Amino acid sequence: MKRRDAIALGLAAPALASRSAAAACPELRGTGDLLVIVERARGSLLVAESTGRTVLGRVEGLGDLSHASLVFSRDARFAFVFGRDGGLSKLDLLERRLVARVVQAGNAIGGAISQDGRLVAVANYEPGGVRLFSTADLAPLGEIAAIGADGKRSKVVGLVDTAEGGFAFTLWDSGEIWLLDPSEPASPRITRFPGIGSLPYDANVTPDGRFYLAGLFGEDGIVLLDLWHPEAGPRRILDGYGRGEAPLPVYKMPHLEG
Amino acid sequence: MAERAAAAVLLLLLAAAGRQEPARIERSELPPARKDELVHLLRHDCGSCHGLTFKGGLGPALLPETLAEKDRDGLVVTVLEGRPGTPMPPWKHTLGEAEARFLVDLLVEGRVP
Repeated sequence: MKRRDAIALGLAAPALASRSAAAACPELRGTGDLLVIVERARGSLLVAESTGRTVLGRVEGLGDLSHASLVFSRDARFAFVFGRDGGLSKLDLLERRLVARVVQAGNAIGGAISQDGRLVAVANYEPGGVRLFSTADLAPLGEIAAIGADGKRSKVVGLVDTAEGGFAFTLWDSGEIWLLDPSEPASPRITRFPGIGSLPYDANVTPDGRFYLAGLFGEDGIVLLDLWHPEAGPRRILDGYGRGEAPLPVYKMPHLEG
Repeated sequence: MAERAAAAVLLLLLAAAGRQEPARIERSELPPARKDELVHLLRHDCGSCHGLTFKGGLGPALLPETLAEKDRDGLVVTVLEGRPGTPMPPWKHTLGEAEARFLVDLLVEGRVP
């Protein structure tokens, strides 16, 4: 579930709220205008509303958020936060409290929620791989070690949920795209596409869920995989798009955003 | 006579100190405002790959225990020249040698403010 999906669902939610519930609970509100602000150095999150631009509260105890990312639940009530210490935290935006938290790895970079809303997948740098958890209570459901074609464990980047109910992610060290079918989370099916290029730093999926795109740091191009036709394999697009006439130093590892 | 000898020894010591550690003398001359800028760069530019707390990201950890075996001069060269074939860029267009050494010392000694 991507952020834009969460916002769209949040906007639709007030129409579903019943009048009697609103009368019984004056605090009743939607989540469509909520936003969260990561307080990197203090390891906390602020929950704010963007209509009146006020801070509603702070949630603490989220560990090392020096590099944090988050995704929202299908119903846009909960945020799942991935932290630098491998922490995975589930946060209730309305009650502004921590619902569940596990430290599931040494260093996590991000994650995604499956289209059916049941699974949250976490991309880990240390140890390199993906772990699957229940969105309900963060119970561990499965684990995939990202051991590349070179036989070594790789850091994982660019983890997204796909329209087919699975996940796609990219192996930084060995340069591979993997598709994950989590129908049986304890023994997920993996489809591997090795040799996509040097040092893919991030990846993204188009809003229609069809095209998975991985950016290469070590080469001047982007890798595209058509998730409707994965059997066709990844192909290179936009070769030579980024560096101009002379390669210049890159001082910050970029993100790839759509 | 003894006083003159002592003064000569002192001069020799000062000269030796100057020859051995020119970088240290240069480093102590970094103005406080520049040091603040360098620490900010360390946290937010170096930290964007190596982690705000230097425990590693896509780049390796830069904690005292991970750097303990490394040669400081070699680390300074890495900062200035980068590591060809990896994403580590050369910083010599932004940093002088004394500035790179100031940052290396902070990391190796675990003294990043």
